[in-house]
Amino acid sequence: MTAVLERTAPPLAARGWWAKTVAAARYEYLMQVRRPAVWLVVIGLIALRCASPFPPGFTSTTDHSTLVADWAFNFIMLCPIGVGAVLADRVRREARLGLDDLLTSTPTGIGPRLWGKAVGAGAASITPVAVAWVGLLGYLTAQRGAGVIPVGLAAFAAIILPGLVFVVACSVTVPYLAGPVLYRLGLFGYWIWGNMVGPRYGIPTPAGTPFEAIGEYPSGAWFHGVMFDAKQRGVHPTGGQAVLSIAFPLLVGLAVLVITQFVLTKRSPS
Amino acid sequence: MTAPNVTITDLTVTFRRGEVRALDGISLRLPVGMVGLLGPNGAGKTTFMRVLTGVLLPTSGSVAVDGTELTSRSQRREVKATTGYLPQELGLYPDLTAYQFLDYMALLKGITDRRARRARVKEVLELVSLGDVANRKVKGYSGGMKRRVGIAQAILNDPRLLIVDEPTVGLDPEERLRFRSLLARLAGDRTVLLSTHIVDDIVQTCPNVVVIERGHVAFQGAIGDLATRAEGMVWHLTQPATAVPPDLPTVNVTPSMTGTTYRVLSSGTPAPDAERVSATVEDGYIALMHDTTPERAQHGPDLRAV
Repeated sequence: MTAVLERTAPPLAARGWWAKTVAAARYEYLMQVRRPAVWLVVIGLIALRCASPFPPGFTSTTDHSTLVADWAFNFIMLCPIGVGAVLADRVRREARLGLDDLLTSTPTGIGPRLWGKAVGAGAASITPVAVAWVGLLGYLTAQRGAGVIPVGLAAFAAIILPGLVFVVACSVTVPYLAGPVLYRLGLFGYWIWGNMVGPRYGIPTPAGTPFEAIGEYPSGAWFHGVMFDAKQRGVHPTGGQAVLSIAFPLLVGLAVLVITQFVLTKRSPS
Repeated sequence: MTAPNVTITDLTVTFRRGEVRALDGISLRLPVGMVGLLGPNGAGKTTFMRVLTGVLLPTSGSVAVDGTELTSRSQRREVKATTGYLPQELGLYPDLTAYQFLDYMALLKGITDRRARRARVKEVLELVSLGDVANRKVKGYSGGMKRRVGIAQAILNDPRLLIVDEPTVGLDPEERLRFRSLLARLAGDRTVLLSTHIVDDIVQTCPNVVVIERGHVAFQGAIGDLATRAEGMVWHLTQPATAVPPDLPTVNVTPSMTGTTYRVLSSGTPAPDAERVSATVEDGYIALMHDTTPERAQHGPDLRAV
């Protein structure tokens, strides 16, 4: 055999969890970011919302914090639906491509592949949002100066990213149960109900509470941004509530991933 | 590297809550070198291979590789680290290049050292003659090239047990020969289990053969012994083209100007003008298929040590 193949290193059955996860993330990122649909859908939804920015007239404000927070609010209103929609079909992709047996026959369990998909494909789906945000900051910097940049980055991290991470975590797990089509419908319904249908409609909803995922609390507490449903609830968010509003979607996303890994590991022979 | 000692004991796999018995009490020990796995569609070959690779858990019975049974998750991973598998339904990521796909698979197989992994991927790409097109996306590959990517990923971890399920389906004759010869070269001091419908592939490469039918081992032994099963039973029978075909197990049919010649199996003379001919492995296989019941599982001499 050595005449045909030379062994270069003994394979490791159990070790290398991080290396495998990073590899899975890297290749999932590459495959997802190349899809035109990712860019078209996500950028399209951002453009749709930003074509008539809300609240009216905020672009004339001289306060950098308010300006970027309100732009961030416009970004986060619709684009998570697009991010979730383009991620939902990645979940059963291996089965659809006939890769399940091949992957299960490797000594790597479901964990690195699930986390790699969440991190890699998730980051790839968020990439158009980040690119659009960087483009916006470039435009605002040209108009208002470089002072916009640090505030803009902070607003992205505090207002836009937590909700997107939450949607990513749900979009690489829930479709295992619901399938991509039903999940997309559910995500659309949840996002509108849970973030935009405020108490004025008389329907029980997390909109306007720290448990929404649209970033109103950090926007209001730290950036003097527009308050919508929270304002209707008479809330003046504190820093602690803003932290809770960021931590909640992140922790729910983490929990969803951990539970899915547990369930899939129980069901898988690998 | 030494070939593994693969022992299968009373292996049973059922589906649909026991309604379907895909494998029914299979026991055998795989020898070193190439072992052919034959059987009709639905016989249980793919199920058998999926159990050996740890992809499917058996309902009962055991598989042990060098004494390590595939019972616990950690034991399965230990065995998987030295097993290669080319499944029948081979899927690839179409958007990755062959190099990227193999790099990813190498990592999943535990080759985490970057330098070693790169060297290994290049080595297997050269071995399957894909070095020149390694940076092309897989979706642009022909069926044969995809199969070669499949075998390349199977041997990335230098497996001691290599399991290939229908590797030559859909390949043109030249590609099939190349594939066959590659598998034979790889066999060396490892065990290669080759499942196929193409008897000729097994005749040309496998000293030993296992025949599975309806979840049972119908035959296990040296390839020559399978042919021997039909010795004295193979006849050429020529009839007018318009005549009713003989009601006998038929291996092949050859039309000619003088009529149609049937290669049939019969324990007695099927017709006065029938001509007895020597048996091939294919004849032996057909004889076995028309003569096997679960109660009369037939065993040849023990699998030949290689």
